[in-house]
Amino acid sequence: MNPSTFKEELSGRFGWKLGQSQESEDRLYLNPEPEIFEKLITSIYEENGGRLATISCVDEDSQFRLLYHFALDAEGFMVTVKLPVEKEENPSVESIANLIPGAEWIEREIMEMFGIDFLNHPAKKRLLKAEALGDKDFPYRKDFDVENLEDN
Amino acid sequence: MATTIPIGPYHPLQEEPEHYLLTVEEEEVIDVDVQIGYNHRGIEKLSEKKTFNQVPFLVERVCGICSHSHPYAYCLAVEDCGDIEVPERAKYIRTLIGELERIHSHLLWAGLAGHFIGYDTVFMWAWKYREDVLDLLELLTGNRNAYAMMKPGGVQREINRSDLEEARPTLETLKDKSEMLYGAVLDDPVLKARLEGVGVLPKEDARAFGALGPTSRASGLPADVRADFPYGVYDRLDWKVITREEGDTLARVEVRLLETLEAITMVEQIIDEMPDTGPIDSEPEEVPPGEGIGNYEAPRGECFHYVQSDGSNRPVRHKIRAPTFMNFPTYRSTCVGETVADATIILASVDPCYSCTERAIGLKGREGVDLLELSKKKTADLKADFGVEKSPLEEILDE
Repeated sequence: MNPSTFKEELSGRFGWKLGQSQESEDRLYLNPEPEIFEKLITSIYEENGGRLATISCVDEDSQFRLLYHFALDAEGFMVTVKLPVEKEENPSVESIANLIPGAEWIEREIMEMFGIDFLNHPAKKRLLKAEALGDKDFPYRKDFDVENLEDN
Repeated sequence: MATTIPIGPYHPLQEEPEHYLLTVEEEEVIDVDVQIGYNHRGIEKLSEKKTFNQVPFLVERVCGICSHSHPYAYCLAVEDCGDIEVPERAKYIRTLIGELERIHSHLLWAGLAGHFIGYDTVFMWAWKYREDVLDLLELLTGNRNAYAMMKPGGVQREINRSDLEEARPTLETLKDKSEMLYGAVLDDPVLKARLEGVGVLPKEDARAFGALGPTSRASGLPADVRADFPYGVYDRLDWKVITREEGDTLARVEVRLLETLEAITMVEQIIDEMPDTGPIDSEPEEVPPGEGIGNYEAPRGECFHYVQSDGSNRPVRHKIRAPTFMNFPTYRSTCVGETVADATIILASVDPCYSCTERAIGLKGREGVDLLELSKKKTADLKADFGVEKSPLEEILDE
């Protein structure tokens, strides 16, 4: 299996809702409709033996984007599933830590650094952020100004 | 009644701070929690302020032991983003340093593991030969650590043929000594009693937690980035992925010792096959807009970097995930149900920053007894039970 046959297999199952994709020899990037997101993640993890490498969060101007990187070790390629998260007062998205325990710490890191709430997360606790930073300071957001950080 | 034993986070001798909370009922560990973050430096954020060529020097400082792994993973990500070619000779140099780093990292861990269970002979022995590897790295790169060899598109400096040839005798000695250590560990009844069946990480848990590197390979998952996503020159070297099915601490020790031997033969092959002339840098002019993933097999497991570029000279986003971030949470599966005396070696067996595990605070009702002493006492008791006065390694060293 390679990225392009894998994509065909997925489009057979999800149709147009799989959205736009980019692929190369060993990378596949998917932009699915949010409604099939959970099903897609579950199928990559359970049926295709995908290993959740990590989740990257990117602060784009108008929204956040979560990138779920799965490694298909036996096939030798990476599948990245992208999920946009609206920038609002309390941005939130459903947690996948109940499906993949390895996601627990990854989501805790994103919660602290980007202020995205993961709904139904099993253990919302502080992981990395310094106690001195307030609950509303999110250091990895683009608008977080390191230079003018007030001592508190 | 349950008691909580805090381990860490700070001690003047610790290289890195972290805080373990063991909940115990009598001798049995019933829950483990880990608090980290004492060492968070915001490197991902800092990286956005550096140019693509400056970032390798920054990410080299993510970890002192894996100071080749992070820049390598970063360069792979940038090269993936910009479709940048890397010259053959640079690939050889990169792989050579990477495998030498694996040898010194695994020897460092083997020494500490010996120390944790009261085998200080192993500690001194392993670190003695690790020192030779660091000398080799200094000879080849100019630095014992933080080699500053990586850049997107190639490597920073040449390695001379004469220096490579000078490395051979050290590698020969290292191979003999590593084989001896492997044999001595497997022959030792006391070590077996301390390690076998202790801290088992079942295959399904290793997968669920996303465990990486030797930790997952000791649980029967064959994933190894060097084989699955070949980079460098691994696809033309003769080597094998080491796996074990047992998932216990002994299996994790075995995997690391055998990987050390594999790494030594790989370094020898690279010295044999590396071309003496040719470019070492493709000198990329710019990184086009796009995104790239770099995954690299560090000594502790897959090191993952994601880089996004908007066509300027700096990354817009640089995500770093070190292997221990995924290996840490497996404690919940391996420590629970084990005895307090074994917790030290189990916590150490995924090869995190171990120094804190030995700076334990006295147990309630056991004033003055710390975890390391408990662990050492267990080994001494076992030695008495087995009627062993000297371990096989000590006997070899005496001869």
